[in-house]
Amino acid sequence: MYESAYGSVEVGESLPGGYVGKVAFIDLTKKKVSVQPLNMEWARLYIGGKGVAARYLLEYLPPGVDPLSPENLFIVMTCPANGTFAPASPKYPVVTKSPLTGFWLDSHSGGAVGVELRYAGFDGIIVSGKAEEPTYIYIDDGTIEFRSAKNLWGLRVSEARKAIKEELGDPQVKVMTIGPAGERLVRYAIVDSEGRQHGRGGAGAVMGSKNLKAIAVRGTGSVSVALPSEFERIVKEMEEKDIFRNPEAEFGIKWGSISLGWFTNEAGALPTLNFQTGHFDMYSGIDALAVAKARVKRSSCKQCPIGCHNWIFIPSGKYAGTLTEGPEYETSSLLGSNIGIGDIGALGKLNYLADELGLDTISLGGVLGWASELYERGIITQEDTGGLDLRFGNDDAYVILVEAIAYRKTPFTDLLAEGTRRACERLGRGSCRYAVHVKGLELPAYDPRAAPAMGLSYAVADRGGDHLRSWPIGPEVLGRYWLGAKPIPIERFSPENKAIIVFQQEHQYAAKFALGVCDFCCWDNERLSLLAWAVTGFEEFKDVRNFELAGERIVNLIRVFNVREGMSSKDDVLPPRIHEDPHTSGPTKGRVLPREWFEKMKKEYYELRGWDEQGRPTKETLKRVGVDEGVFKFMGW
Amino acid sequence: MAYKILVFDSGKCTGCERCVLACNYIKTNVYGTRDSRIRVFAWRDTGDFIVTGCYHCDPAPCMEACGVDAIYRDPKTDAVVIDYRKCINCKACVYACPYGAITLGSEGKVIKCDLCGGDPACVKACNYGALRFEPPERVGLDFAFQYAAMVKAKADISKRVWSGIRPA
Repeated sequence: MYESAYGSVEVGESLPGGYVGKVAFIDLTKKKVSVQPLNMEWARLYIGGKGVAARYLLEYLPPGVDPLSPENLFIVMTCPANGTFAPASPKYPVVTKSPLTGFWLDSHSGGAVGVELRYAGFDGIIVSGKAEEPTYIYIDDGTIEFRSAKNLWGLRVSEARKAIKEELGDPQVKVMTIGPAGERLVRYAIVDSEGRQHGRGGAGAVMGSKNLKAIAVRGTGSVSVALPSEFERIVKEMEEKDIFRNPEAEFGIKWGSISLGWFTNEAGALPTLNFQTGHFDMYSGIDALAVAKARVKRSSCKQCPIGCHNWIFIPSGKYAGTLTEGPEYETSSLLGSNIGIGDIGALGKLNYLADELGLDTISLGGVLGWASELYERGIITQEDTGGLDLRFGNDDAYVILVEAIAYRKTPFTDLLAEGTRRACERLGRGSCRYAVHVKGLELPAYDPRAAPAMGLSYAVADRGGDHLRSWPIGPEVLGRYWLGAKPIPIERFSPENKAIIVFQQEHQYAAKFALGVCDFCCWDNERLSLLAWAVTGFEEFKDVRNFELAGERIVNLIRVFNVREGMSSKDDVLPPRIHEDPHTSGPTKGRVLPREWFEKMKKEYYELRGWDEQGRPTKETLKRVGVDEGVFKFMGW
Repeated sequence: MAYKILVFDSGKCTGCERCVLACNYIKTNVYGTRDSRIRVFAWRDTGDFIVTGCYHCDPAPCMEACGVDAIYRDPKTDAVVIDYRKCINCKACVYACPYGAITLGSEGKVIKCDLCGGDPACVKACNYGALRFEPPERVGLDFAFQYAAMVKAKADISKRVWSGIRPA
């Protein structure tokens, strides 16, 4: 038992069911901490991670709050499988209201902080308020301490991480921190967690707005699972079937996520030159082979046997001496093909800068691509850019620009730091026509014109244009999809049978993420469900349908949050470029995603979901999926 | 004598710490890091990972430091093992170990690697060959090969050392 000014916490104590059982409410304004038991009713319904965090956010965040105001909540919530022996399951989310979209945001990473937080005796922490001066939170086995971050303010990510470890005198402390971009409230700033990034949606800016530089965690406790022998058996089965003898995972083990680029470039789905086309001629300069050639080592997230991270070193040329983790596939596309860069050196440098300064490589690529297109079309000139020649592929200019964005150095980069939606609204000149985002979140690296269902996936994803809510491009390009044991034929360029894929995959992704399993592994719902059962001990997960239902429940719960924040079907739309501008080259030359197709898919999707035409969940739907009674008041019932 | 040696090959480590979790679990039946006899230190800004643990030295400083002869060599596995019936938890072995391989576990007792009685859990958990359990006659040979490969890679540039066997 550890006593502290903020209450006492049993260290090493774990509920039999895979939960630690404690959530810390941290108020930065009053410098107060209150440790409360985890709401086990919510844990049972929403599993953990983003599911449970969604319920907390809904309950404790007042509606209509400005994301960058002290009232916004910054939640770090861990998942039941974090810190156990389950393979590829260290993923945990930060959850908040996004400064980029104004709606729900959960952003996962496999950094070691989530696991450490559980060992330190917490399922999650909920940070509110705003510190008077730069602060970081130090969590040491149940005690929570506020420490001055004055000397850390302004440091890059790896410098801050190092400085904190030195200050605390413990190399085993795990640190999540923001870079200069987060401090300056760049709306797509990341939170770094031990070298892995909570990338999307601007969680770093939320930390920055709270004057919170970092959260440092050290835990010497432990976690356990509810059914150890079943757990061991299922873990063994997952390792055998999902990882080591799985051709899909083999790609991940051998090459990392970057190997997806071969597939998307061939399919015409690789965003190129600000989504003008779907095929990049110079892709061989930045593809998996180029990365493998520059690769000096591999690394893994905690507890993951896959080890998909590539470390590249650039030995010669302009960017000689660059050592960075990555690029991942999304980075290679958005900071590569999307801005016309086909050189691993320049890509590595941009990747390194973005990670160190604390910027989301996907949104950054979207913003740079947008600016370059405006420049090439003459909508902006060197007068606007401050003398920078922003042609596509001009890496010298991009390197300067990335740093200037992170520090908001000039009026132009101050504009770009707001993300494409706000930037184009402020700039005017018809520039919104070229902005490629959904709800303000820049699109990731699968072009919907080459995979129509991906368009639906982006439009209805809970956090805006994002690929980690469903991934229908796989079944679309492969041409088949299994509904249970029954394969249904999939015609790629057609709206038929697409909504059902997005609908079902969203359940899998939501439940899987809530459990803590990585999207890069383990696609078998039955095994995932059994894993959830063995970890939590909740009998209902013996039946895979209940696992999928839990996913559906989480999707609906988050929709309730988004509807409360003003989301409706008019937000579930795609940027005009996807419907109007045909691809200019590659295998999908001439293709657009027709509006009728999209509307048809969206209508089908709403019907499957049981949402009304405005995209609001009906009362019957919420009852059917079994959200708790407390949710109804947020819909005004 | 058919014993094997635990080899730490940090160059191959990816920092997943599955060895740590496996070790902790086999000793305590819970998942954590405190009771692990093996440790992985990570430098995440450069991607360096160093695995540390017990080398089962001979003569073993811990064994010599122990005032009550509680540390002995297991004849079956050649491991240096603590006899808890004799141990008085004075921690002299902790200070004596040059590698920091002896620590205090969650029960407050000194803990160290015992090679799991000849079937180490950490080795089974490692997917990248950073931990191996090898017979003594194999130990060191792959490090020798790694060194040779490094020399060869350099020789490619200098064209000196290996020029005799390279095509012109």
